[in-house]
Amino acid sequence: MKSVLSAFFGIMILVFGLFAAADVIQTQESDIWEGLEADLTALSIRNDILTLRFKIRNNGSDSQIVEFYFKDCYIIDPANQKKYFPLKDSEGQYIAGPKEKDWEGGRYHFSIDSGSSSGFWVKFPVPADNPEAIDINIPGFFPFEEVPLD
Amino acid sequence: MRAKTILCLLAVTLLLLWTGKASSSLALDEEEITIPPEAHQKAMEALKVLGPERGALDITHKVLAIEGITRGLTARSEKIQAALKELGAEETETDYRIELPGDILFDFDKWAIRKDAEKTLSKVGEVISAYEHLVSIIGHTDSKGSESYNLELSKKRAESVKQWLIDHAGIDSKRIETSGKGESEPVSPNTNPDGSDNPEGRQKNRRVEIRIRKN
Repeated sequence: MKSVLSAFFGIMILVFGLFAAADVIQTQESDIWEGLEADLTALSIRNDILTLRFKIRNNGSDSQIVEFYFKDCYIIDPANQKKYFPLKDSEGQYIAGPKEKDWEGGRYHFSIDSGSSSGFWVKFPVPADNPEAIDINIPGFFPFEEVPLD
Repeated sequence: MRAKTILCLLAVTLLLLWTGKASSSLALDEEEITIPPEAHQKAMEALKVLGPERGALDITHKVLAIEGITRGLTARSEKIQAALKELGAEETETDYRIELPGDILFDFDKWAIRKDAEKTLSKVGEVISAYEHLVSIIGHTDSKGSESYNLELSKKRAESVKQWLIDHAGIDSKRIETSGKGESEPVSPNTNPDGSDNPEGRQKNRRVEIRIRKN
């Protein structure tokens, strides 16, 4: 009976640990906005297109206005020293969102209250050399490094 | 007995997992941003256009190119720095902020640019030309007159400055956004503590704010 209980609790800890970790791939602090953190919440690849989803959380005590242009987001293939920008549609708009304005291919500009969060997504080409990992740069946040491309 | 206990524990585990997952996905759904269904198709088309290299830029090559043009930009940069200083620009992490007194730019209750203001606006134009990014022009008034009238006046004044920069400094209209705040954002009190008029405060409040993004 003792061994059954031990095994049960062992499995519980493992399963709950996996569930808790599954929500966020990597988190980076902002180097501009106090109290903000960005979570990389999902990474998916289909037809050589890499879709990244992020959530910006405001852990600070003040509301913050987060502003950046999608043109300033990029990924790096560190193994091959190559840089890739978000994919752009035929009208010159970056395939990303949400956008507050269409300026310069799209601007993210939202106010995030203390204790709240706001999400965004961006589509990139999968790097041509199919690296095992990439670095991701989002303006205003420290880089997400060595993110595996599984 | 043992089998019964195991079954009970398994049922509890499944229940806990189900409720935990249900609540976690509910929280995520509330915050999650939906990707439009057409985005993937657009991305596939964009990828096709990029060709086999997929728009890759060689990092080392780019760095060398930037180093190469830096020297040429230095002299221009010094001129711009002098103009910024003369305009009393305030530098923030993301932009330069210039406040131009309304009395220099416009006559009382008017929104046409005064001739005397053109030298100042030329300097603003030089600074804007040195950067490639967006510019916000925000008009402000004092509290004389009705709120709605002041709001309209501040919008027209911001629009006049934009038009002048397009016509005389060759700035691309797409780079400039304008707005008017009317009397809603004073930098100084419009009245004294005893309720009397404060002309100095009102003068400071009549202004046009120009924000030039650095990157």
